[in-house]
Amino acid sequence: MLPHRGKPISSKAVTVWRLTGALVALASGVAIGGIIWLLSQFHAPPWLLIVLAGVWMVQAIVWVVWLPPLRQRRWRYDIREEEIDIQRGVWSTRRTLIPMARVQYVDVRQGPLLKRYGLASIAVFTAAAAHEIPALPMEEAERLCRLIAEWAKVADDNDA
Amino acid sequence: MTRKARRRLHPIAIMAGLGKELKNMVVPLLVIMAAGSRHGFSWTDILVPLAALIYTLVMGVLSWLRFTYEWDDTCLVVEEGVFVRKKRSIPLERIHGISVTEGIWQRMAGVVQVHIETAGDALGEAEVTLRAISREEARRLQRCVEQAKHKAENASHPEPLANRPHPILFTLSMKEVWVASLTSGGALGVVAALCAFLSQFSDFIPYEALVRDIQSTWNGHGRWYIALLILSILLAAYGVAIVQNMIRYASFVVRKQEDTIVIARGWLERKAVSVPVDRVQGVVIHENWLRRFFGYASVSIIHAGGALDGGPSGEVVLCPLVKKHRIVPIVQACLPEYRLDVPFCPLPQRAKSRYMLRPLYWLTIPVGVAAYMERPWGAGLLFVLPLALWIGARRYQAAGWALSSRQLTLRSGWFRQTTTYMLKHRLQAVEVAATWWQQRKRLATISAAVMPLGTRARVVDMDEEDAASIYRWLQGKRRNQA
Repeated sequence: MLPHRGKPISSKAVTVWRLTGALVALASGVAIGGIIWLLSQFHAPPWLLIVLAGVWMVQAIVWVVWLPPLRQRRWRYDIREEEIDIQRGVWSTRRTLIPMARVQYVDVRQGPLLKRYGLASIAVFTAAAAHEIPALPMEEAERLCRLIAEWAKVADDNDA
Repeated sequence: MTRKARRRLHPIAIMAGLGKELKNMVVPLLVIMAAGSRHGFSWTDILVPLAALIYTLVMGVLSWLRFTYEWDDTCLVVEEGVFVRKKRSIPLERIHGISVTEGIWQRMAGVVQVHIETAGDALGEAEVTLRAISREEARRLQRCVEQAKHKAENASHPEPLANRPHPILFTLSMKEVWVASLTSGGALGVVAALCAFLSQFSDFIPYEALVRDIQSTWNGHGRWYIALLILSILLAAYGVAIVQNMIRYASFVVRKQEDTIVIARGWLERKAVSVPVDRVQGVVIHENWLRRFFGYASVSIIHAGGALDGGPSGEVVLCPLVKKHRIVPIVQACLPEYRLDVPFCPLPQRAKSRYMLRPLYWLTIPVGVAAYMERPWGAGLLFVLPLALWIGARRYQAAGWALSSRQLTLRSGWFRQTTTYMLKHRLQAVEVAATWWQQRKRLATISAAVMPLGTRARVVDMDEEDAASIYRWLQGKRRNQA
């Protein structure tokens, strides 16, 4: 319906998201393992333990193996003089349009994982919400941040 | 500019502040006392509450002493803080809205409380409350704010604002107040408050014994009594909600003063809310099914400040209850930029089955289980399912959208039909979303966001092309059309 002509985010995003997913799976694995151990102390029926372990397996596979490439493939962004156009979402494809005149400020963000792969995210703030474009190459993120700040100012002047 | 001397609030502010603090403290203090006096009562048990009480009293007086305010033609300056001194200076033209309240304490001293909203900034210091100032002073401050705004907008018209009376645009008759209270959905809120209240006292009420009793009654023939009990609690809650609403909406008056909409209301607590027209982000019309049946609706305006009205943040009630044919002229007079009489486009026929089936996704299993557990009579519950289908069809019919060169309008819901009117230059973002199932049927969900955080209107299952046309409408070349 709405063909997107924008650019994809870095393909290294898949690796970063897989690592994040693995860390989350590790944490939830410890939690679920603890619960299973507790339950087994109280002689819970074995099928319950198997179900719990199964739930953990499924969520680990979804977050580490299945979702990251789908997410990366769906992500598109396009930054034009008058608006920011974003496409994302796995289950539901979402297209978001933010008029440049509504942008209040822009952030470049970088966690330890992103830094390791030379990536950064930018977050665009309007008075209504924050919109994040994740996992861009460092220089690209900084260039976009400056560009958006510049254009947002121009659009604001024209709007007033 | 000559700056007026710094001033203190009327001393009744101490009492008003104390009253509020004590109300917050009373439950925790009672709990502490009760916990302490479990093994017999001794004077040490009241030590903690006494200390807290004295501390609050001293702090109340000190913070009153330290709180000063002043303003000139451009700025309101507030100094406060007992240990950490804080000085805030607020440009008058930045003030988004002013609400004037008369609480019980303020009434006793013949003063008012003024609550000032500025643009919601990230620091969370968007508001100032002057707890007790004289009525004339409040009026003077309001006039200064209006003048400052006026000056900021058009420096070419420096003429002072005339003090003439402004025509009343909307009032509620006593009968309408009554109907509005009767048909409001506030009863659920009261029930929630009751639950919260009861949970505070869970230490004192022997819930476990109560539950055991209820269980034994339930297994006997007493379930009708319990149903009756629940029903009467609900009815009582409804009654309380009615009274609350009547107090809230009594002598409701809407005026337009120059570029500001002023809404005055309330019976025990008189309140006046002023909203500058250029801070209005949208108009919302709510019609719950009961009011719609009698041809009534309610109108709110979305406002880019905090919760001036005590309602949900960002919405101010303009008309709590109004005959539908009167809405257009009232809004036209208050906010001439908005067009309410737009023709709505319906959703495509192929969306209907999705609307009808949607409630069944989450209803079928619980209803089926309940019907099975309580058979044979529980089978009557199965009638809920066709009812859900019917409501889905009604929801499908209610939903719609309208687009003009400057305005987007979205409508959805049946129990509480909500129509949101948004101007193009107020839209913060538009989102078109489609799941795989929607894409297969060439449908999409549209949502539009306006200013206070999280305010958005949504229509599910529009024609894909229509959603795309709204998206393109906000894209590029905006200024050529506007």
